[in-house]
Amino acid sequence: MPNSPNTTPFHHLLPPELLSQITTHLPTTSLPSFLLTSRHIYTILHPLYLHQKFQSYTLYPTSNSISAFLSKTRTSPFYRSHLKHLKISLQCPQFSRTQIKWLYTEYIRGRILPDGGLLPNLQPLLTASKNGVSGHENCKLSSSTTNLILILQTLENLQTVEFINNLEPIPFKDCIHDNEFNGITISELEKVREATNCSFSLEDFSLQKVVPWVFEGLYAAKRPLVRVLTTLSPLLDDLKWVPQSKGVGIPKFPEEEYAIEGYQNVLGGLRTLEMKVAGFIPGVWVDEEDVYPDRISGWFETLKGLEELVLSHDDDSRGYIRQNLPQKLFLVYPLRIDAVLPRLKKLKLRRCELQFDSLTTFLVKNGGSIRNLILEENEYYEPFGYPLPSTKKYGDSFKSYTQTSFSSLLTTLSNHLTISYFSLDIPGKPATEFRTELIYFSIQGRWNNPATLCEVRTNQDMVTMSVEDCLEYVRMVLRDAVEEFGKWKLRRGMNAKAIVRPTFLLREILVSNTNRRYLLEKHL
Amino acid sequence: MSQITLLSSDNVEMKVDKEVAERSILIKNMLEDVGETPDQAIPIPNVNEGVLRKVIEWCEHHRNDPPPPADEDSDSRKKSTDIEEWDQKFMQVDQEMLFEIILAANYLDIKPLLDVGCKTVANMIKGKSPEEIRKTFNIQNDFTPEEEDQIRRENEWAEDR
Repeated sequence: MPNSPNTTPFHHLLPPELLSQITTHLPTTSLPSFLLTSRHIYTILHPLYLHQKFQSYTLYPTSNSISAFLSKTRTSPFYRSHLKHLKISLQCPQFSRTQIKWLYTEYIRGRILPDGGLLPNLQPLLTASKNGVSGHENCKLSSSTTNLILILQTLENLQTVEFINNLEPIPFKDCIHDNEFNGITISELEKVREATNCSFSLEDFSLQKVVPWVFEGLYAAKRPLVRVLTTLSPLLDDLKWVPQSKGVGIPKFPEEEYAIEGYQNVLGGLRTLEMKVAGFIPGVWVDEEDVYPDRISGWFETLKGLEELVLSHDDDSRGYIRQNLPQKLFLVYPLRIDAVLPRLKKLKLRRCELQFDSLTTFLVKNGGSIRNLILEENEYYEPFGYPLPSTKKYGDSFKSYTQTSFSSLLTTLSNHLTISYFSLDIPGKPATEFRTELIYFSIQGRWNNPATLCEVRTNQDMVTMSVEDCLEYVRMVLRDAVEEFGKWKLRRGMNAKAIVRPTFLLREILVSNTNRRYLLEKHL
Repeated sequence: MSQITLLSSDNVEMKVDKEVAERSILIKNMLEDVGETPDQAIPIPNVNEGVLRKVIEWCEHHRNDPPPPADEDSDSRKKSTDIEEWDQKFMQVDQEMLFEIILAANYLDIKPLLDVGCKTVANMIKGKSPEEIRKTFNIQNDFTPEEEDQIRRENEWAEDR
């Protein structure tokens, strides 16, 4: 691509917004070189560079990672002034020296499958872990809390704290002090880890323990934040450590009045809480002696300023937030049905297992403030609290049940609540060709006048209709649109993946059916 | 297939299928505002004949592409290497034409073409030293040695993690 010597340099030809757009396609590591080319480019792009470079940081719960970050915040103003999104990993801080050596030896012997398969024999590792858990690299959450306080107090423009708990390995440089273990270099270890594709987590980091710690950490920092995100993964059974391993205890919700008041003062300032849960929650059990869920729900009681609550399943892993509870305690774990959040304006539940009656109860209890309700791709239980058997789930009884329940929910919304916006994904019976997945139809609406009018919006069209018509409309969609939707997808050769999260192309369905076209035209 | 006429900045008229021209959101909106296919040529005052022909060539080739997703995360770093083979060949022009195409795509609001243009430039920058970038794009280094040193030091620090 030649450039003649007389050509006007492009940085004078292109306006700043286009220069910025070009840099969005550059890896961060290429930006410094580009910045250094001329004063003009530096002036335009340096603020953007700082913003991109320092707006986010991932902190691991290890002494190395924390002290390195604290040091940076002291020596440079960049993180202090630009960091808005702090990610805190809640992962197990890694192997002890013994474990690493064992892993490496086993790998060299060829006993660990290089294709990422499971370790063939966990016993030596588990034995090693008993020695390793108390090692200095296995920072306890309690000591991390202390450091978190220091960090939160330092960052001037921090808006969001995101807690991450997945099974990704923590970088070695954030885990260990020395450069090698008994002659094994870090780069060799990285190779081993990459090849085995395994990492380890302690049960200390299970949901029941992490959720309270998140709140505990925030409380201790005395730093009201606007937004808290969490991504919580359960542990893989195959890699679970012994449950009795040492580690952080579950911070019990304080019963003393002064302590509760303290929590309310701090956590009461939290506006947004977004919790992503990946996979099945293995530990949501209710023990007569030791009721974990109750301990957690106590923290929710302190979130009196909460305006936005999002509970969702992690999109990266298929599934739903499931809760095997023998009694109706939670709308969706860890939110209790009877929780009262007086300032809650937006509630979004995505890929959760829900009971219609629990949902209605919660909405009525909190309906005075909720304006924005979004229910996306949830699975619904029958009122007695157990999921429908799979044979029934897609059968007529379920269809009939969901029709009735959704209609009932809409009626509740229109009669008792002041919700001004809703987005409901209505589960329908899938077409014969796709029996394994539910299909969802989205209806988004705005109750301008709860008693009379609402707007039903698809991705392309918006119609205004009475609530009565809206209910009838929902019934019609559920009655027979699903089969047509399946056929429509098939005609276009879409695969099953596209079916899983279909964009609601109601327009396509409507134009293929005379009656429904009439319904649409009637309201356009 | 109805056709419309576009008028370049150097007063050259070009007939083009309406469907092709509507790859430009600017033209699409104009046609929607008018309500019917206009008899007169639509002036494109910022784009000369040569560039407009290239843009139309691109639109012809991509006439059946689906619309780009509306909810694309603008903050996320995108891969600059994923340019289709046809687009890569299309962008093998001299730099002046390349930047003119980017400017035209921006003016005419053709996001996919703008993306291809920006990705092409980003690929020319990626992995190069400051000096190499200057040479590639004929950029004059107007930093004093002291300034350059200071910025280098600053960025060395920034790159330590």
